[in-house]
Amino acid sequence: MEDLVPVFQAALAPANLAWVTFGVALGYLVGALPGLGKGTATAVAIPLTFYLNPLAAIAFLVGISKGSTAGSAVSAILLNTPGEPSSTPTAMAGYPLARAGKAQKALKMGLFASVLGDLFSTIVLIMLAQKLAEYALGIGPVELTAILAFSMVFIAGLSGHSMIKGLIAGLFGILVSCVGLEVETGSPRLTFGIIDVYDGLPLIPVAIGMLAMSEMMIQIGQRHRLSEESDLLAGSGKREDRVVSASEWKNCARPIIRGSLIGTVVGILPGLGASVGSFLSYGAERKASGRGADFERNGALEGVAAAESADNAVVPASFVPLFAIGIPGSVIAAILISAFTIQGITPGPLLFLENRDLILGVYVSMLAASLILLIIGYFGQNIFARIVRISPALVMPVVVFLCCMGAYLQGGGTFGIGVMLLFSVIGFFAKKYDFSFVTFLIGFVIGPSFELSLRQTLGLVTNWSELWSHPVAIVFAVLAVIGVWRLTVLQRRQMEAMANR
Amino acid sequence: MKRLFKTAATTAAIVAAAAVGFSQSALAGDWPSKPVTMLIGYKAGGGTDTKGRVLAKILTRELGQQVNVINRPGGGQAVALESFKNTEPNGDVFFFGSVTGMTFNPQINSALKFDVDDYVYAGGLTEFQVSMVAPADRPFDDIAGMVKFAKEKGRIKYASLSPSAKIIMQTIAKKSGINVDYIPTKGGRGMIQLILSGKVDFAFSGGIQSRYPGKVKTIAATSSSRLANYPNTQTLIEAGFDGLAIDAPTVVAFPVGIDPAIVKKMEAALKVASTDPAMIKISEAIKMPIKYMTAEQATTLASTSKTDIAKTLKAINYQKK
Amino acid sequence: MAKSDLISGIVLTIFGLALLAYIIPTQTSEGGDATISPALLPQICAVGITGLAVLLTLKAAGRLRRRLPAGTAVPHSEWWSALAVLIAVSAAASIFKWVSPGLSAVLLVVGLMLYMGERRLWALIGFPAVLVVGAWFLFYRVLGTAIG
Repeated sequence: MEDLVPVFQAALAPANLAWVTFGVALGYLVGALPGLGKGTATAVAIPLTFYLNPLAAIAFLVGISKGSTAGSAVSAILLNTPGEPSSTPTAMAGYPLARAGKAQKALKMGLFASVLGDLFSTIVLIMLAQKLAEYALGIGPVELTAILAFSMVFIAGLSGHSMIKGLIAGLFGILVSCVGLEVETGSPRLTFGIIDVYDGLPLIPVAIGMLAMSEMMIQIGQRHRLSEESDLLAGSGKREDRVVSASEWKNCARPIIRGSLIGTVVGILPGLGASVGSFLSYGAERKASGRGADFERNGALEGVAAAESADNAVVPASFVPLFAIGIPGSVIAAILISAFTIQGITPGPLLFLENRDLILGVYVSMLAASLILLIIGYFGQNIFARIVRISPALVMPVVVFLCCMGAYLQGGGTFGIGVMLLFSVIGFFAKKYDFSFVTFLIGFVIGPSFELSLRQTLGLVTNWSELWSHPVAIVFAVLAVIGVWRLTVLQRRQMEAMANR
Repeated sequence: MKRLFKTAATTAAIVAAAAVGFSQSALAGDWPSKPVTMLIGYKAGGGTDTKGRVLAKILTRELGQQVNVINRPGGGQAVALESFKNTEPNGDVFFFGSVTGMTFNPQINSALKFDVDDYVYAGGLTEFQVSMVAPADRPFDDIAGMVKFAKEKGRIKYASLSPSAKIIMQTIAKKSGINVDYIPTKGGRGMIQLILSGKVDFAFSGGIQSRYPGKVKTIAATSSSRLANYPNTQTLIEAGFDGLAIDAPTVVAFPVGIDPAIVKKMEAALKVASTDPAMIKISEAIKMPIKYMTAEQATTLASTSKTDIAKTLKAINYQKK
Repeated sequence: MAKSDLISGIVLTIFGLALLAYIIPTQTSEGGDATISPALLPQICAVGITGLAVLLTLKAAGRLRRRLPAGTAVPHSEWWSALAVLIAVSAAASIFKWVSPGLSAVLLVVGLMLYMGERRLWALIGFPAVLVVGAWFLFYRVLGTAIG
């Protein structure tokens, strides 16, 4: 035990904590600003870490990723503009709450859920990293194909009123994800000769365009109504709309627990990502509550809790395969690899042997970061809520500018801005004609992984009997089929009900 | 009187300094006289980018002007190279990256409108340690053993993480008469997962196996001469596959038409960088060793590499996309 | 909703057919030595989209015929604002390349602010200035990367 004392001393030293705090604050700010996300923030912060000692550098970057995942809820709730794709369900369930004057309540729940999910996942990471990592290796292409198929079906069920339109959107998303060099043959698909898309359409400009810019277009169009509404956003003044009541806490306890679990599992499995985690959790809560589409009409605190706990839980969990086997489970983890290597550290099985003290120090810093997140989030929300109240005419143009900057940075220059514009138009139409941009994004994000793991499965599995040795895959495949059946049955019932009216 | 003298002296000094300044910038070979841009064809945070940024810092010191890094990822450096080809050859921008972007990619993708001869090479700095690997528990240690294993088993499973990976294996398979199942992966990370879990028998690697000592063994080097990190591993050429090599050194390049004096200056600065302690430190950290090449060596390597690759592609009847 | 569904259904059907008949065949290569053809997944998506779009059109037509509630239209102001944002960003992007990044950022923000009705001079000058200076500082000083 005594040998842990120097670890704690190093991790809790004021200088180190200062860097953690700076990272969390920076991440929260960047996450709250639509158009910028943790991908941009971390990739851009890496050169800065050249100058830091290893512990501070890693803790700083991890702090950024935690902060921005939590901060993205702020713009989602206040502006209906998710700071990152994974906060889209938060916008769906939280923005209606804000319009009803309950913005502060929603923000608080979002923050608490984020911190709890993050804390849970960090503890899981600390205790189980090595054991879980071996299990993660056992998840091969066969299992991944089944899990992805299940996720797609499950999330398609969230498409709201019209299953048909939801499926169209999802298929569109998958189609768009096919743009680029096909992975097996290296031949260009749907590229129209544009070299910039050889690696596929860049996610960030697509997401920014579809989620943020299209929303800005709509809100700028509503600018006359907005000035009345911005007073509403400030809050109705009643205390019960600002705080989270005890009974609401009870209602949200289950979604938070479920969300943390889902997020942690999704984070450990490489290839899924925070968006999948938050959508799965949100969908599960929506179904469990029995309220269905009401979640988006009147807003739902439970929905916010489910989404935010899950997407924050994904981040630390995605470090499990990274620390233990050196395989990143998410984009953030991949960026962290370079931060590690700059410091001369090799993530992988040797990590715990060679750099045990460092990793333990990182763990302690991560726990500290969760708590710091709570403090920063609390104050940050008040600041942001105040800013949004200033005047739409000031806020919207700034948001548009930030979106352009984000698209420029992450999309390869002006090409990224072009992509963003294209998808802002598509998103605009999708929102206006009631097509689920959610299923589109999921199709777009999961499409390539699904196709790749399907091809790998076909290459690895030479005869059907081999499939029986993959029980996990069979379970998920069955669940996916059940899901499709239930959804079509439900849809037919819906149609009958409408016809009878 | 004193004041007049002072004013005159100051004026004279200023005029003299300006004259010297002007004449300096009028001399050719006084590059760089303003900040320079380093173009990298990969995302920020990758191996090439990390090295490039360290190099940029060293060059800032050596050349006396700020060197800024711009990332333009896409298509395996294709996006960067395409736009770079047409920039003004005045030394404002230079390219840093793997030479395979010029030697290999244009030969497999007909949409790429650039080629090895569109650039002037100032030198080479490091070398990607590209090799063929296998899980540690497989019963072979070299290519001959792998071929024997494949024939006994009937088929061999191979993780292919890029077109070049597939082409190399296709050449080996054709010459040795073995059957291969090609499992596509997305990059080195996907490949290493399949190797570590034992789901594939063989794979192409860009160097990631150095992180997993004891779990992965290196079977053959795909470069034309033995790799610094694996001096005991034979190359494919040594294993009997004539001309089968893809060299992947990182080079600095300028567009065609550049002043040779600028190239010489860069070449010299690269030499200094190759012995700089910061560069040595980062090379050890990411396990990509330094291998300095002069401008002439880099140019020769680029064109012989291109010819060798062309021959290999012909041998397997490769269809250009 | 029925009216807009009808329009979107028809448009999507046409698009789906265009995909199958022209876009996919010209933009993807068939076969090759892959486990599944590169064109397979796009084709599945296109077939799905076309089929579902036809279904959508029929459903909407049915609803309109039965005089069921048709749903709300898109307010005019939103069409204009969408166009305005589009023009503003495109203009800014073109100025960016040919003139200067700073100027394009300023014009973008000021333009949108004016469009939204902002008339206070201190805001029109102050905000863009802060943004541009902040961005410049971030990129050129802190990060050492150039823009443009």
